[in-house]
Amino acid sequence: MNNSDLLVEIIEKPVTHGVGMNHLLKVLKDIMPMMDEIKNTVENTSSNIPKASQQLSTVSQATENATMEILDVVDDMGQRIEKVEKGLKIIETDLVQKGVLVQRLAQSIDSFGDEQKKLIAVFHKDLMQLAEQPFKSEMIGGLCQELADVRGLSMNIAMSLQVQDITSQQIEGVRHMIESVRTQLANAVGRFDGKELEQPLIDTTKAFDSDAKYSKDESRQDDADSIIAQFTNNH
Amino acid sequence: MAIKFLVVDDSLTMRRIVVNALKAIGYESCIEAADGKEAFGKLQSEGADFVISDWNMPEMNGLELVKTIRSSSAFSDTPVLMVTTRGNKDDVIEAMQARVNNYIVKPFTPQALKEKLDQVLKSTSLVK
Repeated sequence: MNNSDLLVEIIEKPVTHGVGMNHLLKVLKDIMPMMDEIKNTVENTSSNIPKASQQLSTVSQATENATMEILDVVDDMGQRIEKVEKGLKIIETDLVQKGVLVQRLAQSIDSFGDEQKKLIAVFHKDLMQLAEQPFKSEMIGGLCQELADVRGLSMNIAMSLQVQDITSQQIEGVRHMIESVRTQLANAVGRFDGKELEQPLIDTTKAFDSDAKYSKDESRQDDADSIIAQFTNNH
Repeated sequence: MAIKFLVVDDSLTMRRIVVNALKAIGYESCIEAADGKEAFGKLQSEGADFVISDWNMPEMNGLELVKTIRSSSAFSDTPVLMVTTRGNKDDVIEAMQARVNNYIVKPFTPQALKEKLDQVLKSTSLVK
C-alpha cells in the first residue's frame, strides 16, 4: 500500500483501521518533500511560460513582416505588368497605324508609271509583302492575355497571404491558453505560500478568433449566404 | 461617383489585402482603421460611403462598430460588409441582427468580394 492509499484509508476509516496519529504524521512527513519538489518543478516550469508566449508573439510579428515584404513584391509586379500592358497597347495602336500607311503606299504604287515603278521596284516587292502580311494583333492580344493571367496569379498570391492573419489569430488563441495555464499553476503554487490569487495577464491590444481556420472549403460561406438570404427574404 | 471605402481590420496584412482587392476591381478610394473606435472616428472626421469591417478587433469590435453606426443618425444607412474568420451560424445571425448588409467568411477571393459588393451596391443608392 503506498502513502496516498494509506492516507485515504486513514481519512475514510480513522477508527476501525486502528492507525494512530503517529502513522499519519509519518505519512505527511514523507509527502512534504514530494510536495516541495512538485512546487519547485511547477515554479520552474511556470517561469518559462512567459518566454514561450513571447516567442509565439515574435513568430506572429515575423510572419507579418514577411507578408508585408511579399505584398510589396506582388504590388511591384502588378505595377510593372500594368506598365507592360500599357506599352503593348501603344505598340498595337502604332502597328495598326503603320499597317494602314503601308497598305496606302502599296496601293498608290500601283498607279505609278513604268519608269517610276522601275525606280522603286526593289521597295515595291517588300512593301507588297508588308501590306499583304496579316497584322499580328492576335499575337499582341495573346501577350496581353498572358499578362492579365499573370496579374491574376499575383492577386492569388496576395489573397493566399490571408493565412498570416488567420494563423496569427490561432497563435494568439494559444497564447491565451498558455497564460491561463500559467495563472492556474501560479495560483496552485501560491496556495503553498499563502499568496493572493493572480488574474490572467490578458493582452487587450489583441483580439482573436480561436476557431479561425485557413480553408478553401466554401461550405462556410455557403452556409452564411443561406442565412443572409433568409434574413433578406424575411425583412 | 467614386465610392469611398473605409477598411477596418486590426491586421495590417488584411487591410492591405482588402484595399488591393478593391483596387483590382476598380475602387481606388480607400481609408483605413485598425479597430472600431478608430473607424467610427474616421467616419465622422473623413466620411466614407461604404464600410468593410473585421469582427474580432481590440477597443471596439466589428459588431459593436455596426451597432454604433446603425444607432448614429448621420451614418445609420452606411452599408457595412463584415469580413471575418467567424463562420458559425450563430455569428452570422448575430451580425445580420445587428444589420450588416452582407457577410464574407475569411479567407475570401476577389470574386467573392466583388459579388458581395455588387449585391450591397444594388440594394443601396450607391452605384459605381
